[in-house]
Order: sequence, then C-alpha cells, then structure tokens
Amino acid sequence: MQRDFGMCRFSARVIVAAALVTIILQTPQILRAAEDLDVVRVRPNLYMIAGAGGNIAVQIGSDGVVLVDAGKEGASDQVIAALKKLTPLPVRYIVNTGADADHVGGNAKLAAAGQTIFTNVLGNPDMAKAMTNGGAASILAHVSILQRMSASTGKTAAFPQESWPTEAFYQKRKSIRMNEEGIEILYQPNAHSAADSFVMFRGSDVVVAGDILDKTRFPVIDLANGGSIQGEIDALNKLIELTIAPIPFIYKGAGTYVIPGHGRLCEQMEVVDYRDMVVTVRDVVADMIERGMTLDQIKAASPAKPYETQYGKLPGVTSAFIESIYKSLKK
Amino acid sequence: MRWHSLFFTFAVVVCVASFITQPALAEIDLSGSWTAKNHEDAMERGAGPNPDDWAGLPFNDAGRAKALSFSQSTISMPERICWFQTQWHIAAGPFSLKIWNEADPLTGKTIAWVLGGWETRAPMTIWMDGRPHPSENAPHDQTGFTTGTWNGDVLTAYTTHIKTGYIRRNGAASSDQASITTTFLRHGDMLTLTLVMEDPTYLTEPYILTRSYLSTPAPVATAGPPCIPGDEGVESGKVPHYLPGKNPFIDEMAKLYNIPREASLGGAETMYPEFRDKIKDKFVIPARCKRNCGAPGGN
Repeated sequence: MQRDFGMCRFSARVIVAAALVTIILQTPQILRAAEDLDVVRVRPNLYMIAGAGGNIAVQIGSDGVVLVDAGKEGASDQVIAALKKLTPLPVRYIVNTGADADHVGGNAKLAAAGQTIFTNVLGNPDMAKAMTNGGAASILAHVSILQRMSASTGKTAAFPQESWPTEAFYQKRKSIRMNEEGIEILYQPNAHSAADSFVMFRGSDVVVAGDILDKTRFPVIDLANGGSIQGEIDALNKLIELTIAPIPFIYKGAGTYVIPGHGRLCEQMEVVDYRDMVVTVRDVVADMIERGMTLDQIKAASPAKPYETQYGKLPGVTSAFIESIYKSLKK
Repeated sequence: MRWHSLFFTFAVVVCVASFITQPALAEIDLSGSWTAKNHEDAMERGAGPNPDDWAGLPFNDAGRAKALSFSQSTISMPERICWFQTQWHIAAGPFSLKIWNEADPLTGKTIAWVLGGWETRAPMTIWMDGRPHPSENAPHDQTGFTTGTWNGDVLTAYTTHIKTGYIRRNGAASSDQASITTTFLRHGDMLTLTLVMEDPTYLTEPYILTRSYLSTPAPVATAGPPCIPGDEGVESGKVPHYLPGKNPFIDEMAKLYNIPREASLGGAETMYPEFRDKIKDKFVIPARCKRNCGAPGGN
C-alpha cells in the first residue's frame, strides 16, 4: 500500500509538472488567442485585419491611415490596439464597402480615434468642429450605405449618427488619392444588397471586395435590401476584370490581392472559383424551376451539393442561398 | 507535495519534451536530378484518365457531385488556361524532379529543400528551419507552404495553403482546405515519394499515391515556360458545367471495362480489395483488346 501511495504521489507530480510544461508551451498561443485578431501583411504598406467582424483593410502612409470597413462595434478597442502596433499615425479615412453591422459597426469609435484631414485655419473651433466630423476621421461611402444606416426625421435609424458616412457620394465611381496612391470606390448595384462597393488600391494592386465575396459561406443575397443573384454574378465578374493573375510568369509572386468580406486573403483564382460556384448553383436552380419544381422540392434536391462542404457549413446558409436564388429568379 | 521534488520532476519532463522534439541525426542527401518512372499509372500520368473514372477515390457526396458537374471545357476558360497545378501534380503528373538544398551561409545547415518547378507545377520549398505555417487568413498559392522533418533517413514534408486543384485530371477536385503529406525515401539510386492528400471538403479518407524516380546524370529542367492564355473558344464570363444527371460521360468507363457504375463513381470502399467481392457478380470480363488498348473505342 505504501508503494501504491508512493506511485500515486509520483504520478501526481508528473501530471502537475506536465501541466506546467503544457501551459508554458501554450502561452504564446493563449496570448494570441486573447488578442483575437489576425493581422495579415498584404503589401508593404497594406494589411488585412481579420477577426473583428468583417475584414478590415489598412493602408498606411505619410498621410495617415486609410481603413476600408471598420468591423463590428464590439471589436473597436481591439482594432485600435492593433492599429497602434502598426503605426503611430492617425486614421484619416474610413471607406465602407457595405452597410452591414459587421462592417460599419466600428465606424464611430474608429473615426473618433482618428483625426480629420482638415486643419483649423479659420481659428473658429465650433466651425471647425461642425465642418470636420468633430475633428474625427472622415467616413466615405456610397449614398446607398448612408440611406441604409440612417433614417428620415422622426424614424429610428439602424445605426447612431456618429457612425453614418460623413462623405456620401452618388456616382458609380469615386476616387481619392492618399498615401501616394489612387483609391477607387466602385459602386456595385443590386449584388449582396443595393449598397455594395469595391475599393481598389491602384498602386498596391489590392481590391477590397466586401461581402460580395465571402470565403466562409455561400453569398448572402439580401433580397429585402435590394440584392439579386444576377447582380451578385455581375459584381463577381467585375471583380475578376479588376484583378490580374500572375501571368505569364505564374511562379513569380502573386497577382492582384483581393480582401474578401470574410475569410482569407484571395487572388483572382479564388474569385473565379467563387463566381463559378454561384453561376453553377444558379443554373441548376434555374433548370429545376423550368422543370416546374417548387422551392421545397428544389431544396430537397440539393442543387448546391458540390459546394455544401465548403460554403454550407454554417446552419441554414445553404437553404438561405437556394431560397434567395429561387426568389431572385422568380421576380 | 515537496516543491524540490516537483521541481525535479518538472525538469525531467522538460528534458524529455525537449529530447522528443529534436530531429534525428540520420539525414541523407536528396539533391540531384531524378527521372520519373512512368509505367505506374501510365495512362493517367500521360494522356490522362478516362472521363468519369473515379474508381479508388475516397469521394464524399460533394466530391462526387463536383466531379460529375465538371466539363473539360472548364480548362479553356480564359481565367483558367494558366491554371497551374498544386503539388499533387508530383504524384499524378509525368514529370521528373530536380532537388537541391538551400543552406544557411553562416552555419552551412540546410534551411530548405527545394523541388524545382516544371511545366505546370510551381517549385516546392520545404522549410527545415522550424518556421510555423502561416495563419488561416494568409493567401494560398500553387506552391503552398511546406515544412519538413527528418524521421531517421526519411524526410516528411507537410504542405498547406494550396489553391484549388485536381486529384485526378477528369474533374476530381481538391479544395484549398486540402493538405499533402509527402515522404521522401531514398534507396541508393532510387527515390520513392509517397503523397497523402487529406481534404475535408471532398474526401472522406486520405488518398495515397506513390511515385518512383531514378537518379540520372542528365539535368532535369527546373522551370517550365511562361503561360500566355489564348482564345480557346469559351467566352469570358461563361462557366461550362453539367447539370445534375446530364453528364454524358457517366457510363463511358463502366461500359469500356464492363464494370458497374457504382465502381467508377468512387467512394472510399472502392479503394479496398473487398470491393471486388462486392461487385464480382456484376462484372463481365471484356473481350480481349486487339488494338488501341485502353483507349475508348479500342477493340
């Protein structure tokens, strides 16, 4: 019995010691997990922050920081901390690709943590405050995004006023030049919704796609807010046009990088794969509609079967995608 | 529990853990030119497999459905003409290998083994310096990201971050979630590579192919030509594919060899010898081939 207790004590020591070793070995991973954000360097002056809701693009240069999208509201403090690790320069612009909460939820806090591009040459603080978003960074977006986020007088807006775009534009194409490169914002009508834009960094050769490209799931076609399957396909084709594959020297480096709304950093081929998936499933559903099948029958026939293990892992997304195609085609 | 005793045990565990993580010191030289022995799976590596011959592939339902929707016109899409292969092409392609090591200029220690690229496959760098694989949000490319370890005199390489590709050149696809484990085993002038693909998107079990090479004094080219896409007749924006139930080639292989359709459509059970017992009553030995053997229409 004595020997058994001795073995027990020895075993306990081994277990405790092994646990200590495990904790020590795992500490870096634990610290990384606590930060919860993944900052991926895309180009020397351009980064992608993943894990804050929708992906955020960060362009850094002598003019300051330009963000594309702001993530969800609850992640803003982490995003600000991540930005401080990248640069001491302030955020000057936030450009939005869409109006969903996981892309614009952080607008207010990140803009407030930034600094307006205007200087107070008039010496009138009140006027300067009124003209410059209270001294915060500008929020630039297509007017369709402003319309989704705000509300007419007397109605409740979807988001607080502090997070609304301060520079809304009506054109299909808006351009600015920051940090020595041209930045184009290209409106994509009736795709994921009626409020989508691509943001293209011409010098860095990077396009931010928003939720038109979501590597983690089938696309959300928000019919209630103006989305359509054909608009989604048109936008994906446009995105392919905007990108350049690494040819003729396919082994040498990367082509145009595409930052999706969610998921990993992509190139043209991932957009082609995604477009092909959307077109194939659309064609299958269209064929089934032509054969007189009901929505329930179409869902039961699994028209998205080849892609379900990749894009249909989240509960309900496959069904929602098929339904959105069906309703979009029936319109 | 006495703390000095705990400290001693802790130190022992640390030492054992450190010892376990050290590489074995039995590395061998893999460098040189290696010519491929293509008699194994010759048709698949040369002209290519029969359409819809997926026997022996551990497909899940999605993998099979994806393969059945595949049209060969896909590779004539303007965006896909220069769609180069993943490292799986080492196993399924016909080409030879050039291997060399990259050494640290200060220590002389090998920091990477490199497999030169060829016509449609990018070079493969196997990092031996312990660097971690990139994050799940990092980009993927044809090369992928590969790390290696020596287990005795066998080099084991692990590849992730690859783009979508093929498992068999007839629509059997691999996803960007696939990983490839490659072992390099040298027996004198012969080198055997064993490649294991695991793909949670399209496969239910690992798929394994082996390749053999002979050392050759003839230099093997290390890079293929550039790729310039031409017009192959598929309009930009068009996506060739077959609708469910409309693949015209579904029975071509089954008819050629008088085997049931279920065998040609793959699935894990078609990998194992027991499957022959299952279909033996459905199989009729084809007439002896007289010409064009192996090709559709041969007799």
